[in-house]
Amino acid sequence: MISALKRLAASPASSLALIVGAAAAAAAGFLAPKWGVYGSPVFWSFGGLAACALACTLQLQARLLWRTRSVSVLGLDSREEAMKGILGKHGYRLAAAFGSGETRRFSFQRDGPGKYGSFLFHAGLFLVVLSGLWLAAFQKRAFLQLMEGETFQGAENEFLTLEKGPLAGAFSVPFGLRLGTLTHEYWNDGQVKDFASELFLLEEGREERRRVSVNHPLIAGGVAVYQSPHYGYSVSLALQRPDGSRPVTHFLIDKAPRINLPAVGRADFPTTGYVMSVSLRPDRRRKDFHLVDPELEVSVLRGERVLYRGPVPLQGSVRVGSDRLSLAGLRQWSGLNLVDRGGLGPARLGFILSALGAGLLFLLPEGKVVVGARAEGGWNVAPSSRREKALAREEASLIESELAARDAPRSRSHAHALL
Amino acid sequence: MLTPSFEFEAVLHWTATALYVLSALAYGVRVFFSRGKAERWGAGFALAGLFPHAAALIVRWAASGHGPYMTKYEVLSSNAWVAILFFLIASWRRPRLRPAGIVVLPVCFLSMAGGLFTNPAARNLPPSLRSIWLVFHILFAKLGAGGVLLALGAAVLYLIKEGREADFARRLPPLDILDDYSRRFAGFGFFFWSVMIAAGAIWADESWGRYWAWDPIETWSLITWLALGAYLHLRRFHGLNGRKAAWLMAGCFVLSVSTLIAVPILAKGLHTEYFQ
Repeated sequence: MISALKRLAASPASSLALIVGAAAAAAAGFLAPKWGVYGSPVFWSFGGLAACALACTLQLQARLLWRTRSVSVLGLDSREEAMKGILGKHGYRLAAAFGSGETRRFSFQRDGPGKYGSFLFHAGLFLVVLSGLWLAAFQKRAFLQLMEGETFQGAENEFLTLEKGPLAGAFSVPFGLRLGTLTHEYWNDGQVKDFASELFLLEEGREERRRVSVNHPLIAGGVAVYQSPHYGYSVSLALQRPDGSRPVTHFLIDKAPRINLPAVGRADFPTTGYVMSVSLRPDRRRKDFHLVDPELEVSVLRGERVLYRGPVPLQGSVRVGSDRLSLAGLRQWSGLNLVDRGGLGPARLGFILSALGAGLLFLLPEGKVVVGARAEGGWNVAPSSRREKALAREEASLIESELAARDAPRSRSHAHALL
Repeated sequence: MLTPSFEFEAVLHWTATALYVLSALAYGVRVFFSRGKAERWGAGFALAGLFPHAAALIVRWAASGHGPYMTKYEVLSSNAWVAILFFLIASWRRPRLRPAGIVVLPVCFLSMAGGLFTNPAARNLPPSLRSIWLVFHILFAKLGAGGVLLALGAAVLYLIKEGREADFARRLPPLDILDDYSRRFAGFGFFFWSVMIAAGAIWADESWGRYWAWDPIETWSLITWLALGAYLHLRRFHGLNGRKAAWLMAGCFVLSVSTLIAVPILAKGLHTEYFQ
């Protein structure tokens, strides 16, 4: 029963069904993206079936690949050695000789590294599929917004967003981070040239300066910190209340897409009932994304009523109802993506193996020919490859011609000697 | 903004396009009117076109500060150059493939002409595209497209020849040879496409911490790769060959064009900034 199931799983029909099904599922997912991928039973079903099918295929191929065969080849005469030499130039090696006299046949194989191609390719795919299932179940990814000077302690509740697989535990990071400065540079047309976070890695009582930029993550304690493309400005506003309290809140707004536009954001001021819209130009001359000469405008609403709309000075305050609103601080913030690295290594190996296997399979394919002497002289070369039969026959004809040309001067000189 | 050398670039591009048109015409004459020398003219014009085309790409590279992979103008042009080079090398080693020039050259010069009518302004390279994996990813994407195009060429010749008794059909290579070449180049295309996906996934991990995000182009690359895989499986294990295989190869080509050109225009995602 188990053997039958294994054969079914590794059968060409099952493989084809999985391939077509995966393509259809991917197309359906593209057209209806709201279904989501990793929470979908389709993903888990396909992933599981694919992993089983690949495992059975690998087991079958491994048995075929490592099967050893002992071959004894009897001594070749000079003509046969010459024939073997010509086949050798085409990449063939003598695998076996059988029969004798007129029925003697030679089996040649061209099987260099190509014979491992299918096994490596499917082994790579197996690793990728397994990694995908593992990551879908256990991976932890989080997005962190850090203001300059602010410290991340490593706790899960500090993340702005968190994605975890259904079987993943808490995402507590074994180190802290403090953002020193966010650096960003631009081309003359305002497109971003580079951006990076100058961080301090806080680990075991030590503080280590590190830089995180795109394509250059920080990896420590099994967690990788990637520079997110999201960054911007932190506008800290303070509200002086008549009762003497002075709540402060931080509005984290994204950088504007173009230099002539302000960075805008809208949020409520906790415990006050105010809703604030903030518009910040980091440079009032509209020439720089850095906080060179900032200009801040705020709208304050309570319900439908606009209590204030206008600039907020960098020093001083403005009246909002019975309160006074002032700027408590202006900094930059950087977005960081934190990812648990567990399970990602095998996926990389899988991608590399599958690419390598595909190369061996299609660039260095196997070949088999059987060579026999003709009664009337010359050689007959018959391909026994199951693939590309027409091209194999063409190659066999070419080898026959070369063998005939090799023999022709000898037969002419032999005939001449007889004469 | 336009690069300072754009006018010179445009002249080189149009010169190359004109030579490719002449090459396509020469191959057409060879196939339909059996003028043996026309085949050499076809290869000659195509080879001659590669030089001004390469010069245009180099000038663009020097002016923009990055390789030709950031806008429709650059992508369509560089894809065509790689595909034509691939075809010339393959047809030099396997002369029976030369008639496929009636498919390869028109597709390539139409691709170039399409690029020349888009916005040629250069774009700066964003930080996410500065990685060595980009080189592997882009190079193998172009080789994959070239492999699939050659497989299509052989498949189209098969469809032209099958069932026809006309002289031009008899002059084409045997049907079984064309069938095998289509399969062989589909295999090359599958390998190059596999490396493209692998390099892209590893690069995505280094940039964003995940190998796969189901971005529209990632999804359609996967669908194209699975389609090529299904084609090769059907050929290897289910005896698919001949006319059905040729039509399936045409379908795989349409998918590859959709992935590389249509999806970046129609869908928004992380990848699409390279094709604006």
